[in-house]
Amino acid sequence: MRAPGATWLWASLRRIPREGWICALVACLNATCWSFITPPFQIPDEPDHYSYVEQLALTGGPPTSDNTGEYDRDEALALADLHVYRVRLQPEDRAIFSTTEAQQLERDMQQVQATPIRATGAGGVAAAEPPLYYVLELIPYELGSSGGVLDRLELMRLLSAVMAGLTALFVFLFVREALPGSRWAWLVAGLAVALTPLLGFMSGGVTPEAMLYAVSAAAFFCLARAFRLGLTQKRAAIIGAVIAIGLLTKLNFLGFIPGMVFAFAVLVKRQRTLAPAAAYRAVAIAVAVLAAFVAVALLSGVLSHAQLDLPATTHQNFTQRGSLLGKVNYIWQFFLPRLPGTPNDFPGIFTPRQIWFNGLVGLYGWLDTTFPNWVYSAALIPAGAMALLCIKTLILRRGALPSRSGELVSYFLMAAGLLVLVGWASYTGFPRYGGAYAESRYLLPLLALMGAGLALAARGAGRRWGPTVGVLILVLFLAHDLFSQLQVISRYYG
Amino acid sequence: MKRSQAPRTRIALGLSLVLLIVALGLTLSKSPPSVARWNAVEAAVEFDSITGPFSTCQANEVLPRGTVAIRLSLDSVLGPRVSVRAVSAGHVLTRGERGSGWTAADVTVPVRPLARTALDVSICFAFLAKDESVGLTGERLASKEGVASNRGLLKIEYLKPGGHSWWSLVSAVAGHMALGHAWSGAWVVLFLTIAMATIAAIVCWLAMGLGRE
Repeated sequence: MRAPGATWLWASLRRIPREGWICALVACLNATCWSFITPPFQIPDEPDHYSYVEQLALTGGPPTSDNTGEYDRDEALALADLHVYRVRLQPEDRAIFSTTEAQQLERDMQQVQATPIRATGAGGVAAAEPPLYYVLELIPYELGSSGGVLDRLELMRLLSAVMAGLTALFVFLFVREALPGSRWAWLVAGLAVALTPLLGFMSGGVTPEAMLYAVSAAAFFCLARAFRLGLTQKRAAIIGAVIAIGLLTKLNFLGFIPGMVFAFAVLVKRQRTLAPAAAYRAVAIAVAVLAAFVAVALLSGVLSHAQLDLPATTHQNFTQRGSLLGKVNYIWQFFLPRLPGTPNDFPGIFTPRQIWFNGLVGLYGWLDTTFPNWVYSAALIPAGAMALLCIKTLILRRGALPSRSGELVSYFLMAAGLLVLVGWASYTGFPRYGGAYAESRYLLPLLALMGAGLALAARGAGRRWGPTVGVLILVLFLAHDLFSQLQVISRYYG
Repeated sequence: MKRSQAPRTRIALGLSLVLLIVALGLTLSKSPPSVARWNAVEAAVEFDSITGPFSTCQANEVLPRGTVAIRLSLDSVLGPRVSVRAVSAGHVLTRGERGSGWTAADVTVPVRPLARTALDVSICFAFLAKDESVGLTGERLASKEGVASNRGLLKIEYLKPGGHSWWSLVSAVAGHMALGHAWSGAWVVLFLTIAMATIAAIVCWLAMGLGRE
């Protein structure tokens, strides 16, 4: 006999439409392909993320220092044999190229397997990250313990690929809740996200961002469901758990908090008119669940107090430099066109296009693998057409917007919060680096909104042509994915 | 009435797939660029780091005929616009420009190809790095006193279209893909082909269903 929780979970899973599972399968398979296409450790910061898991496995605790380049012997040897630092950032250099090099790698891996590994304690740039993703990655790490670094890394990458599947599934479910009108449009959104090459590339590697994308999509789905069906105690508890999981996955989730708090306030206000006590109980449950998660993480030792101090340290770096207006100006220009009369922090760069749009179109490896320039210009045509169709739908359905203003403002605040957080972090490296965090992967927690935008675009073509436009969007994303994979293959193996 | 949309979606799917296959075929029939020549300078060290306006010329270079791009060993996270000129005896032989926003340890600037190889060429390049510095990588020139200087020779490569199409390189590329992974072997390429074909089939199957709803 099943426990009530398990019964509820099983019933919930059975209610998910078959199309949702297919979207998840496509995303998972796509990310798995990317995990084999991208050479080991050629995903941003992957050596440090692997090192974090190894520290957890060897010491039971997170890394104790953020020293970069100090890896355990097995990883250091793999990095050297794979020529990771020669290949990284140098598009003219290829990945491992001859059977002699491959044999050397295999020999070294076998040799190092026979000797015990001593933990260095270093986690590089990953050291400050929360532990949840890394704790989960311990499972494939241990499963691959009979093999070498590359076997473990590939198994760990496969777990990230499963998370890509969850991302697509939650985007599908979010669009189903947010735009319940057209069933076919949910599929367009879910499949298009599943085929997004940047999602496949990132989720084909060892990085907590793979999990962040899934949790972020789950957060959007949970809120959309609560807005549509009301805030119950169970839904409040789930939202609390999602927030906790997000915060324990990657600090970028902090950007969602203002929007999620606002959403909670709107939901509670709406609920209070019906049952005040139940509304407050729901809030208390959400907070209790959130606190319980953090407490367990702290007591188990996988979350160190130093990691909790990181936001404060970054904040200190941020506040100590420049004027307030200078910071606001920088963050504005980081995402949007410069306002007249303001100093130019990105001379010669139109950030919305060159950093964010081009990055979404194609920037792989350690930001060193690009398409020819004309591709980015050509991509403006379908992107512009989809944006126009999306706007058309919003204008045609403007009558429905006021009744959902609270929900829409919540999503806007979540998106704005994330962008401000990324801009804020980037400013701490300015002016030494113009855009230390100028990478489109940081926008992927907003994939749920992108999915909704695509569904609106398809619906913008009207009842008659909507499904046809949906088909074109799907083939476009499939083509984008295929050409991105070919670009990466030509860069590393050509 | 709803059923009548199915032919339209099928036609859209068929046409877009044909377009995709043609685009793939055309792309693979092109040749990857290859290095026609390099100036025998190793990218051994970052000998200078520049912030602000910068322009310089490196003499004694050879510009091979048919060069379509010049690759300079400049290092930046959010690189500035870079302009390049190849100058010989006071005449500009060819020039090119690369827009800002590049990230790498080198930058490739497309140029107009020459009909014949030019000897004793100066490669002049300029950029304006307002805040973020740009690293110059190559070999450092020792100063007279023997102390390290920030003068050096930049590694420069000259690219031309390769002689073989991607189609003819398929087996070589597949061979390279089989190396350096967990569970290395030719099965990697086979798996990728089957997996992506499965994804494409699923997408087509679901796309055909869109018109039926």
